[in-house]
Amino acid sequence: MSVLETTGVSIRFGGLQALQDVSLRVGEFEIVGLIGPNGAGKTTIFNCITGFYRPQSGRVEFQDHDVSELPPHTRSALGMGRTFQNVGLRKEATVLENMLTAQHSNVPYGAVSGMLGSPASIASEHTLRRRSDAILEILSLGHLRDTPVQGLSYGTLKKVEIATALATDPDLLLLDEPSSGMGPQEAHQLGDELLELRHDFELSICMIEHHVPLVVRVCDYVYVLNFGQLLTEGRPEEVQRHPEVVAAYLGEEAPEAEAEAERLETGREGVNQ
Amino acid sequence: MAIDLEPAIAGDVFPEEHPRVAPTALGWLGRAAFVVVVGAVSLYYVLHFEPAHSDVLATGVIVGIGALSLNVLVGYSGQISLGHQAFIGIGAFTSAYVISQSHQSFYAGLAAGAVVGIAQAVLLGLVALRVRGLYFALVTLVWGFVGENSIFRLESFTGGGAGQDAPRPGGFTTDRAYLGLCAIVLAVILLIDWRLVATKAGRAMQALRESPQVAANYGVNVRAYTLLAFAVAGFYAGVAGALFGSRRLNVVAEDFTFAQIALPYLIVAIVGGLRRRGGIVVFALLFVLAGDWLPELAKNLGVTYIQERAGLFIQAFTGVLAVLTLIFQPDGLGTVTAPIGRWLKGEPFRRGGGEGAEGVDVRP
Repeated sequence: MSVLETTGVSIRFGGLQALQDVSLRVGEFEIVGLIGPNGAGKTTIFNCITGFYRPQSGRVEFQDHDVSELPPHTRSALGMGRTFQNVGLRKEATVLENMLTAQHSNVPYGAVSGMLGSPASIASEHTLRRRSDAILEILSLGHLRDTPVQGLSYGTLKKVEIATALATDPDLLLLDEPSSGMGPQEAHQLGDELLELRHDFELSICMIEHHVPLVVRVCDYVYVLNFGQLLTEGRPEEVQRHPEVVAAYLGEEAPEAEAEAERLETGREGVNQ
Repeated sequence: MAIDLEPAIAGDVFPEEHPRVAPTALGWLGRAAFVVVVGAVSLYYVLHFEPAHSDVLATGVIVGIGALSLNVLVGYSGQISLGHQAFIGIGAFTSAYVISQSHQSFYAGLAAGAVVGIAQAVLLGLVALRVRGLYFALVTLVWGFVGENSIFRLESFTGGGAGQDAPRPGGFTTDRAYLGLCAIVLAVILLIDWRLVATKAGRAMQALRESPQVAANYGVNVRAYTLLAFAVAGFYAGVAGALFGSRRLNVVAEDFTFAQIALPYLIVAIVGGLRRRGGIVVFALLFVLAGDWLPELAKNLGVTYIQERAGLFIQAFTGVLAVLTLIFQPDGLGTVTAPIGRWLKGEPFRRGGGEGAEGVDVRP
């Protein structure tokens, strides 16, 4: 059974064909890597998967249901947990408040009954807090519980963001460059943690990642995007040796125009603050 | 479909909630003494002075509720309203109409004011989903003037120049008793506001303010919670309007102008401190009391120039205060009231706003 399947996803921004006919699949409990040079459309496909973009053609299926028409919050509630390239957290709030907000879809009381102070809402607020603490402890972030998000280091923010994504109670975790801002040592540790999280939370994971050793170590399968198209796919060790991948990564330096296109794209997204 | 956490984390591994530093018995006694002293001083003020002071305080309480309404929009959800004279006025006229034209009780009027307040706010919220930022601010400004110059001039609804009578309910006809009624309503609004921020809806609204994308990613329905924020603000405003009307006993259109309602209420919310409900209520009272004291003070000092223009001076002064607050102390008066509030809840006394500290506590 596949958790996620995109079929022929294409999207165009003005003159830029950001994605063309991208089909990828994440099987249950798989860790799938998504690699490619800057401007290849990796974040764009994430935005199509999570509903922030509506592709002009193609389908997104999640747990064998077509979710192509659903808004982002519904997809989140269905079990897609996502992190952003440039950190998607409530920056004015504390780590705990972010964890509580992220549990929005799983709060068992209604918005109005919470406002009116129903006893059930007060009781479940305690449960939400305990769940937050449990997840923070697992990720060794317990000491940051009451710290405001603003002011934390970039690497720490990336980890806090994974914690909030877990708090949404996902079946599929979509991670956008989880190791950025981390040193090689921390990135290695992150690899261990991802493998543990997959086991503990029964997750499937799809991640955009530049750190090749991490990809090779944890991913079961890898897709390579280049200029909005799938270049190749396969097991990490195969992909690593693929001549076109080597060319795309090492052979030709990404020209200025490509970086510019990526910037334009992110600007239009407005998703990466 | 959604995997439960419980199987992964065995029940006994579930950590206890973080321990709090509980105050000693003496500490609690000190806190109780503080509440008693503040309560006694307030009660003394109300009972000892002329009943006119009760009327002024009732105005302060009503301004407080109106400013809390703006706080929901500006403070929590990151929206804006520059047309609150319409929000408050519609509540006042609806309530007065229900009481004196439909011959219902004051409480029916209050409820009707609240419902119509919600309805008009949600209508504006629907616009907010399509028009954003500066342009939406302009829309609210227009809505305020539509209320001021069109709706409040409908003679069948507002009674024209003579206004619409809005008698007080039995048992609350004196100024002192009416102040008591206003205070009870304020207490209820404060409780709702507290639970709002401490639960799902408040968190969702605040996430919207910080980033709609992050909110959606957390599973928050951006449209629904934008509308809910307007509904809550409209509810507070409708209630404030109904109280406003019966305080004056007669609702006239001249009371609901941009300069008398929308602007001062917004300033009270900002100087009191956005997201600082304690600061907002305290500053609302100070704001109204200052308007009452200044002419007397000027008279005693023999400064007739100020005495004659007290209202103007108060407005100019609070305007400057709002600007200074925004620049130097974004938490407003909440910088002072928030630490006291936390201390009363049993936390050690720490200075500073402690962003979100109010929202975290769940203890009733």
